[in-house]
Amino acid sequence: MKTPVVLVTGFLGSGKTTLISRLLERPDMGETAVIVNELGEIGIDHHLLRRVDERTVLLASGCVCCVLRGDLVDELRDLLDRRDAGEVPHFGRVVIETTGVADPTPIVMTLLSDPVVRNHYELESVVATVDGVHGLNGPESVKQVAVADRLVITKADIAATGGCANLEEQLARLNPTAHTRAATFGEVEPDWLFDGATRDPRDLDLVPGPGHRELDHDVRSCVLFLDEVDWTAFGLWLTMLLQARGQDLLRVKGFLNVGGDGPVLVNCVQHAVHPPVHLDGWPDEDRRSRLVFIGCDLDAERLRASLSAFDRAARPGRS
Amino acid sequence: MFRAALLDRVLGHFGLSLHDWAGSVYVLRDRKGASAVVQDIGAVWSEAERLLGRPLDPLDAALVAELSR
Repeated sequence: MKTPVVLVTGFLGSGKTTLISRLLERPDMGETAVIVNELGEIGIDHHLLRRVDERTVLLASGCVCCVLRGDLVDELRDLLDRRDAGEVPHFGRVVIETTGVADPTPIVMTLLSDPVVRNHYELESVVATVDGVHGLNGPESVKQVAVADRLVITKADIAATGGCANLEEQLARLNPTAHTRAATFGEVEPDWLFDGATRDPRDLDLVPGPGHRELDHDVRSCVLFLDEVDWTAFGLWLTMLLQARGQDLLRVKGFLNVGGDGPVLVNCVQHAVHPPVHLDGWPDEDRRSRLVFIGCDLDAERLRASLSAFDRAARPGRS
Repeated sequence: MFRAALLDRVLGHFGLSLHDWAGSVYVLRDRKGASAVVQDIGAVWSEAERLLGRPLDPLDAALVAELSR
Protein backbone atom coordinates (compact mmCIF):
# COMPACT_ATOMS: atom_id res chain seq x y z
CA MET A 1 0.00 0.00 0.00
CA LYS A 2 1.33 3.40 -0.95
CA THR A 3 1.95 6.04 1.69
CA PRO A 4 -0.34 9.04 1.14
CA VAL A 5 1.27 12.44 0.70
CA VAL A 6 -0.49 15.73 1.32
CA LEU A 7 1.12 18.85 -0.08
CA VAL A 8 0.38 22.04 1.85
CA THR A 9 1.05 25.22 -0.06
CA GLY A 10 0.05 28.86 0.37
CA PHE A 11 1.51 32.32 0.18
CA LEU A 12 3.82 33.83 2.80
CA GLY A 13 1.99 34.41 6.06
CA SER A 14 -1.19 32.72 4.89
CA GLY A 15 -1.19 30.23 7.76
CA LYS A 16 0.37 27.00 6.43
CA THR A 17 2.43 26.38 9.54
CA THR A 18 -0.48 27.15 11.86
CA LEU A 19 -2.70 24.77 9.93
CA ILE A 20 -0.17 21.95 10.04
CA SER A 21 0.69 22.56 13.70
CA ARG A 22 -2.93 22.42 14.78
CA LEU A 23 -3.54 19.29 12.77
CA LEU A 24 -0.51 17.53 14.21
CA GLU A 25 -1.69 18.26 17.75
CA ARG A 26 -4.61 15.94 17.26
CA PRO A 27 -4.23 12.36 18.42
CA ASP A 28 -5.75 10.96 15.23
CA MET A 29 -2.97 12.60 13.22
CA GLY A 30 -0.25 10.35 14.64
CA GLU A 31 2.45 8.69 12.58
CA THR A 32 2.94 11.65 10.27
CA ALA A 33 6.25 12.58 8.69
CA VAL A 34 6.56 16.27 7.88
CA ILE A 35 8.95 17.68 5.28
CA VAL A 36 9.60 21.41 5.36
CA ASN A 37 12.02 23.86 3.80
CA GLU A 38 12.35 25.95 6.92
CA LEU A 39 12.30 24.85 10.51
CA GLY A 40 9.59 27.02 11.95
CA GLU A 41 7.16 26.63 14.76
CA ILE A 42 5.58 23.37 13.74
CA GLY A 43 4.68 21.31 16.77
CA ILE A 44 6.49 18.04 16.17
CA ASP A 45 5.84 16.02 19.28
CA HIS A 46 5.24 12.40 18.27
CA HIS A 47 6.02 13.22 14.65
CA LEU A 48 8.97 13.00 12.34
CA LEU A 49 10.22 16.34 11.03
CA ARG A 50 12.69 16.57 8.16
CA ARG A 51 14.10 19.68 6.58
CA VAL A 52 15.18 19.85 2.94
CA ASP A 53 17.11 22.41 0.90
CA GLU A 54 15.36 23.00 -2.37
CA ARG A 55 17.28 21.51 -5.26
CA THR A 56 15.71 21.30 -8.68
CA VAL A 57 16.61 19.18 -11.67
CA LEU A 58 15.43 20.22 -15.10
CA LEU A 59 13.89 17.40 -17.11
CA ALA A 60 14.91 16.72 -20.68
CA SER A 61 11.93 18.62 -22.08
CA GLY A 62 13.44 21.86 -20.83
CA CYS A 63 10.01 23.16 -19.86
CA VAL A 64 10.03 25.46 -16.86
CA CYS A 65 7.30 23.51 -15.04
CA CYS A 66 8.99 20.16 -15.70
CA VAL A 67 11.59 20.25 -12.98
CA LEU A 68 12.02 17.58 -10.37
CA ARG A 69 12.79 18.39 -6.79
CA GLY A 70 15.91 16.29 -6.31
CA ASP A 71 15.98 17.11 -2.62
CA LEU A 72 12.50 15.67 -2.16
CA VAL A 73 13.31 12.52 -4.11
CA ASP A 74 16.32 11.93 -1.84
CA GLU A 75 14.34 12.68 1.29
CA LEU A 76 11.36 10.50 0.41
CA ARG A 77 13.62 7.61 -0.58
CA ASP A 78 15.66 8.00 2.59
CA LEU A 79 12.51 8.00 4.70
CA LEU A 80 11.44 4.73 3.09
CA ASP A 81 14.80 3.10 3.75
CA ARG A 82 14.90 4.27 7.33
CA ARG A 83 11.33 3.23 8.01
CA ASP A 84 12.03 -0.24 6.64
CA ALA A 85 15.19 -0.47 8.75
CA GLY A 86 13.34 0.72 11.85
CA GLU A 87 15.64 3.73 12.15
CA VAL A 88 12.79 6.25 12.28
CA PRO A 89 9.37 6.00 13.90
CA HIS A 90 6.80 4.36 11.69
CA PHE A 91 4.81 6.84 9.62
CA GLY A 92 1.70 6.26 7.58
CA ARG A 93 1.38 9.67 6.00
CA VAL A 94 3.67 12.43 4.75
CA VAL A 95 2.90 16.13 4.83
CA ILE A 96 5.07 18.39 2.67
CA GLU A 97 4.98 22.11 3.43
CA THR A 98 6.17 24.34 0.61
CA THR A 99 7.72 27.75 1.02
CA GLY A 100 5.34 30.68 0.61
CA VAL A 101 6.51 31.67 -2.84
CA ALA A 102 6.98 28.13 -4.10
CA ASP A 103 5.39 26.88 -7.26
CA PRO A 104 3.89 23.55 -6.16
CA THR A 105 4.01 22.09 -9.67
CA PRO A 106 7.57 20.69 -9.48
CA ILE A 107 6.61 18.85 -6.29
CA VAL A 108 3.56 17.35 -8.00
CA MET A 109 5.77 16.46 -10.97
CA THR A 110 8.29 14.83 -8.63
CA LEU A 111 5.66 12.71 -6.89
CA LEU A 112 4.24 11.55 -10.22
CA SER A 113 7.48 11.09 -12.14
CA ASP A 114 10.23 9.59 -10.03
CA PRO A 115 9.87 5.80 -10.39
CA VAL A 116 10.72 4.90 -6.79
CA VAL A 117 8.71 7.73 -5.29
CA ARG A 118 5.60 7.04 -7.34
CA ASN A 119 5.72 3.35 -6.49
CA HIS A 120 5.78 3.98 -2.75
CA TYR A 121 3.95 7.25 -2.30
CA GLU A 122 0.65 8.57 -3.58
CA LEU A 123 -0.21 12.26 -3.84
CA GLU A 124 -3.47 12.33 -1.94
CA SER A 125 -4.24 16.00 -2.27
CA VAL A 126 -2.87 19.50 -2.56
CA VAL A 127 -4.06 21.89 0.13
CA ALA A 128 -3.63 25.64 -0.29
CA THR A 129 -4.08 28.19 2.45
CA VAL A 130 -5.37 31.61 1.42
CA ASP A 131 -5.13 34.61 3.71
CA GLY A 132 -8.70 35.61 4.60
CA VAL A 133 -7.61 39.20 5.23
CA HIS A 134 -5.34 39.86 2.26
CA GLY A 135 -6.81 37.38 -0.22
CA LEU A 136 -4.90 36.28 -3.29
CA ASN A 137 -1.45 37.75 -3.41
CA GLY A 138 0.10 37.80 -6.86
CA PRO A 139 0.63 35.14 -9.50
CA GLU A 140 2.25 32.68 -7.06
CA SER A 141 -0.87 32.70 -4.92
CA VAL A 142 -3.14 32.28 -7.95
CA LYS A 143 -1.15 29.29 -9.14
CA GLN A 144 -1.19 27.67 -5.71
CA VAL A 145 -4.98 27.92 -5.68
CA ALA A 146 -5.27 26.60 -9.24
CA VAL A 147 -3.27 23.49 -8.36
CA ALA A 148 -5.12 22.78 -5.09
CA ASP A 149 -7.80 20.20 -4.30
CA ARG A 150 -8.67 21.75 -0.94
CA LEU A 151 -8.61 25.44 -0.03
CA VAL A 152 -8.48 26.78 3.51
CA ILE A 153 -9.34 30.45 4.00
CA THR A 154 -7.40 31.39 7.10
CA LYS A 155 -7.85 34.12 9.71
CA ALA A 156 -11.61 33.91 9.33
CA ASP A 157 -12.03 35.56 12.72
CA ILE A 158 -10.39 38.83 11.64
CA ALA A 159 -11.43 38.93 8.01
CA ALA A 160 -13.83 41.77 7.20
CA THR A 161 -17.50 40.91 7.40
CA GLY A 162 -18.46 39.46 4.08
CA GLY A 163 -14.81 39.33 3.07
CA CYS A 164 -14.57 35.58 3.42
CA ALA A 165 -17.72 35.08 1.35
CA ASN A 166 -16.34 37.27 -1.42
CA LEU A 167 -13.01 35.49 -1.32
CA GLU A 168 -14.73 32.11 -1.36
CA GLU A 169 -16.65 33.17 -4.45
CA GLN A 170 -13.45 34.40 -6.10
CA LEU A 171 -11.71 31.10 -5.31
CA ALA A 172 -14.65 29.11 -6.68
CA ARG A 173 -14.39 31.02 -9.96
CA LEU A 174 -10.67 30.43 -10.12
CA ASN A 175 -10.74 26.74 -9.22
CA PRO A 176 -14.23 25.21 -9.43
CA THR A 177 -12.82 21.75 -8.65
CA ALA A 178 -11.54 22.63 -5.18
CA HIS A 179 -13.49 22.42 -1.94
CA THR A 180 -13.17 25.38 0.39
CA ARG A 181 -13.43 25.93 4.14
CA ALA A 182 -12.85 28.98 6.30
CA ALA A 183 -10.77 28.44 9.42
CA THR A 184 -9.65 30.31 12.51
CA PHE A 185 -6.25 29.43 14.02
CA GLY A 186 -5.92 26.51 11.61
CA GLU A 187 -8.93 24.67 13.03
CA VAL A 188 -9.94 22.24 10.29
CA GLU A 189 -11.15 18.69 10.77
CA PRO A 190 -8.35 16.30 9.73
CA ASP A 191 -10.87 14.12 7.91
CA TRP A 192 -11.63 16.98 5.57
CA LEU A 193 -7.99 17.26 4.53
CA PHE A 194 -6.65 13.75 5.06
CA ASP A 195 -9.32 11.26 4.15
CA GLY A 196 -7.77 9.49 1.20
CA ALA A 197 -9.08 6.11 2.23
CA THR A 198 -12.68 7.20 2.41
CA ARG A 199 -12.96 10.12 0.02
CA ASP A 200 -15.11 9.53 -2.98
CA PRO A 201 -13.12 10.68 -6.03
CA ARG A 202 -16.42 11.53 -7.70
CA ASP A 203 -16.78 14.34 -5.20
CA LEU A 204 -16.63 17.04 -7.87
CA ASP A 205 -19.36 19.60 -7.68
CA LEU A 206 -19.32 21.30 -11.06
CA VAL A 207 -22.17 23.38 -12.32
CA PRO A 208 -22.56 24.94 -15.74
CA GLY A 209 -21.48 28.55 -15.68
CA PRO A 210 -20.39 31.29 -17.99
CA GLY A 211 -18.10 30.11 -20.76
CA HIS A 212 -15.29 32.10 -19.26
CA ARG A 213 -14.71 33.17 -15.74
CA GLU A 214 -12.53 36.23 -15.90
CA LEU A 215 -10.08 36.52 -13.07
CA ASP A 216 -7.16 38.56 -11.94
CA HIS A 217 -3.61 37.90 -13.11
CA ASP A 218 -4.74 36.82 -16.61
CA VAL A 219 -5.86 33.45 -15.25
CA ARG A 220 -9.31 32.20 -16.03
CA SER A 221 -11.22 28.98 -15.73
CA CYS A 222 -13.85 27.37 -17.87
CA VAL A 223 -15.98 24.25 -17.58
CA LEU A 224 -16.82 22.11 -20.58
CA PHE A 225 -19.77 19.75 -20.58
CA LEU A 226 -19.64 17.13 -23.33
CA ASP A 227 -21.34 13.87 -24.17
CA GLU A 228 -19.49 10.59 -24.45
CA VAL A 229 -15.87 11.05 -25.54
CA ASP A 230 -13.64 8.49 -27.24
CA TRP A 231 -10.89 7.68 -24.74
CA THR A 232 -8.17 7.24 -27.36
CA ALA A 233 -9.04 10.51 -29.05
CA PHE A 234 -9.09 12.29 -25.72
CA GLY A 235 -5.69 10.89 -24.76
CA LEU A 236 -4.10 12.08 -27.98
CA TRP A 237 -5.82 15.45 -27.76
CA LEU A 238 -4.87 16.06 -24.14
CA THR A 239 -1.22 15.06 -24.52
CA MET A 240 -0.98 17.28 -27.59
CA LEU A 241 -2.66 20.17 -25.77
CA LEU A 242 -0.38 19.83 -22.76
CA GLN A 243 2.71 19.72 -24.97
CA ALA A 244 1.62 22.82 -26.89
CA ARG A 245 0.12 24.86 -24.08
CA GLY A 246 1.16 23.18 -20.83
CA GLN A 247 2.91 26.25 -19.48
CA ASP A 248 -0.27 28.31 -19.80
CA LEU A 249 -2.60 25.52 -18.75
CA LEU A 250 -2.34 25.33 -14.99
CA ARG A 251 -4.92 22.64 -14.42
CA VAL A 252 -7.23 20.19 -16.17
CA LYS A 253 -9.55 18.18 -13.98
CA GLY A 254 -12.85 16.41 -14.40
CA PHE A 255 -14.79 13.32 -15.43
CA LEU A 256 -15.08 11.77 -18.82
CA ASN A 257 -17.87 9.58 -20.07
CA VAL A 258 -15.97 7.03 -22.14
CA GLY A 259 -18.88 4.65 -22.48
CA GLY A 260 -18.24 2.40 -19.47
CA ASP A 261 -20.21 1.90 -16.27
CA GLY A 262 -18.56 4.88 -14.68
CA PRO A 263 -16.51 7.91 -15.69
CA VAL A 264 -12.76 8.31 -15.87
CA LEU A 265 -11.27 10.85 -13.51
CA VAL A 266 -8.69 13.07 -15.22
CA ASN A 267 -6.33 15.32 -13.26
CA CYS A 268 -3.39 17.28 -14.68
CA VAL A 269 -1.20 19.99 -13.18
CA GLN A 270 0.54 21.64 -16.12
CA HIS A 271 2.57 18.82 -17.69
CA ALA A 272 2.18 16.56 -14.66
CA VAL A 273 -0.55 14.01 -15.39
CA HIS A 274 -2.05 11.93 -12.61
CA PRO A 275 -2.81 8.34 -13.64
CA PRO A 276 -6.45 8.27 -14.85
CA VAL A 277 -8.85 6.64 -12.40
CA HIS A 278 -11.62 4.49 -13.88
CA LEU A 279 -14.56 4.76 -11.51
CA ASP A 280 -17.23 2.11 -11.16
CA GLY A 281 -20.21 4.43 -11.00
CA TRP A 282 -21.46 7.95 -11.57
CA PRO A 283 -21.96 10.47 -8.77
CA ASP A 284 -25.43 11.41 -10.03
CA GLU A 285 -27.83 10.96 -12.93
CA ASP A 286 -25.87 13.33 -15.15
CA ARG A 287 -23.84 11.28 -17.64
CA ARG A 288 -22.13 14.15 -19.38
CA SER A 289 -18.37 14.50 -19.41
CA ARG A 290 -17.32 17.58 -17.46
CA LEU A 291 -13.89 19.12 -17.61
CA VAL A 292 -12.46 22.15 -15.88
CA PHE A 293 -9.58 24.07 -17.46
CA ILE A 294 -7.67 26.72 -15.51
CA GLY A 295 -5.04 28.83 -17.20
CA CYS A 296 -4.15 31.81 -19.35
CA ASP A 297 -5.48 32.50 -22.81
CA LEU A 298 -8.30 29.96 -22.57
CA ASP A 299 -11.15 29.86 -25.05
CA ALA A 300 -13.86 27.38 -24.07
CA GLU A 301 -15.39 27.21 -27.54
CA ARG A 302 -12.04 26.54 -29.20
CA LEU A 303 -11.34 23.78 -26.67
CA ARG A 304 -14.76 22.26 -27.27
CA ALA A 305 -14.50 22.46 -31.07
CA SER A 306 -11.04 20.91 -31.08
CA LEU A 307 -11.86 18.05 -28.71
CA SER A 308 -15.10 17.34 -30.60
CA ALA A 309 -13.19 17.22 -33.90
CA PHE A 310 -10.68 14.72 -32.47
CA ASP A 311 -13.55 12.68 -31.10
CA ARG A 312 -15.42 12.60 -34.40
CA ALA A 313 -12.25 11.74 -36.33
CA ALA A 314 -11.67 8.74 -34.05
CA ARG A 315 -15.13 7.40 -34.82
CA PRO A 316 -15.54 7.54 -38.57
CA GLY A 317 -18.75 5.54 -38.47
CA ARG A 318 -20.46 8.01 -36.19
CA SER A 319 -22.66 10.64 -37.70
CA MET B 1 -5.93 0.98 -34.97
CA PHE B 2 -8.02 4.13 -34.65
CA ARG B 3 -5.26 5.75 -32.64
CA ALA B 4 -2.72 5.18 -35.43
CA ALA B 5 -5.16 6.48 -38.03
CA LEU B 6 -5.97 9.57 -36.00
CA LEU B 7 -2.32 10.20 -35.25
CA ASP B 8 -1.53 9.93 -38.98
CA ARG B 9 -4.20 12.50 -39.80
CA VAL B 10 -3.04 14.95 -37.19
CA LEU B 11 0.65 14.62 -37.97
CA GLY B 12 -0.10 14.68 -41.71
CA HIS B 13 -1.75 18.05 -41.31
CA PHE B 14 1.59 19.40 -40.12
CA GLY B 15 3.53 17.64 -42.89
CA LEU B 16 4.81 14.85 -40.68
CA SER B 17 4.47 11.08 -40.82
CA LEU B 18 5.10 8.35 -38.27
CA HIS B 19 6.59 5.01 -39.23
CA ASP B 20 6.73 1.85 -37.17
CA TRP B 21 10.31 0.68 -36.87
CA ALA B 22 10.74 -2.98 -35.88
CA GLY B 23 7.67 -2.75 -33.71
CA SER B 24 9.56 -1.22 -30.82
CA VAL B 25 10.27 2.39 -31.72
CA TYR B 26 8.86 4.82 -34.27
CA VAL B 27 10.47 7.15 -36.75
CA LEU B 28 8.94 10.54 -37.35
CA ARG B 29 9.70 12.19 -40.70
CA ASP B 30 9.00 15.55 -42.25
CA ARG B 31 8.61 16.29 -45.98
CA LYS B 32 12.22 17.36 -46.32
CA GLY B 33 13.50 14.00 -45.13
CA ALA B 34 14.49 15.03 -41.64
CA SER B 35 13.65 12.39 -39.06
CA ALA B 36 13.56 11.74 -35.35
CA VAL B 37 13.31 8.49 -33.38
CA VAL B 38 10.32 8.31 -31.05
CA GLN B 39 10.88 5.83 -28.24
CA ASP B 40 7.22 5.69 -27.28
CA ILE B 41 4.02 7.29 -28.46
CA GLY B 42 3.94 9.51 -25.38
CA ALA B 43 6.98 11.36 -26.75
CA VAL B 44 5.56 11.91 -30.21
CA TRP B 45 4.44 15.50 -29.64
CA SER B 46 7.72 16.70 -28.17
CA GLU B 47 9.69 15.08 -31.01
CA ALA B 48 7.30 16.50 -33.59
CA GLU B 49 7.72 19.93 -32.04
CA ARG B 50 11.49 19.60 -32.23
CA LEU B 51 11.32 18.55 -35.87
CA LEU B 52 8.83 21.25 -36.84
CA GLY B 53 10.42 23.99 -34.78
CA ARG B 54 7.13 24.98 -33.18
CA PRO B 55 4.40 23.34 -31.09
CA LEU B 56 1.66 21.35 -32.80
CA ASP B 57 -1.42 23.11 -31.48
CA PRO B 58 -4.60 20.99 -31.31
CA LEU B 59 -6.61 24.23 -31.27
CA ASP B 60 -5.24 25.19 -34.69
CA ALA B 61 -8.33 26.22 -36.68
CA ALA B 62 -7.14 24.57 -39.89
CA LEU B 63 -6.47 21.28 -38.08
CA VAL B 64 -9.91 21.37 -36.47
CA ALA B 65 -11.49 22.01 -39.89
CA GLU B 66 -9.46 19.17 -41.43
CA LEU B 67 -10.51 16.70 -38.73
CA SER B 68 -14.14 17.78 -39.02
CA ARG B 69 -14.36 16.87 -42.72
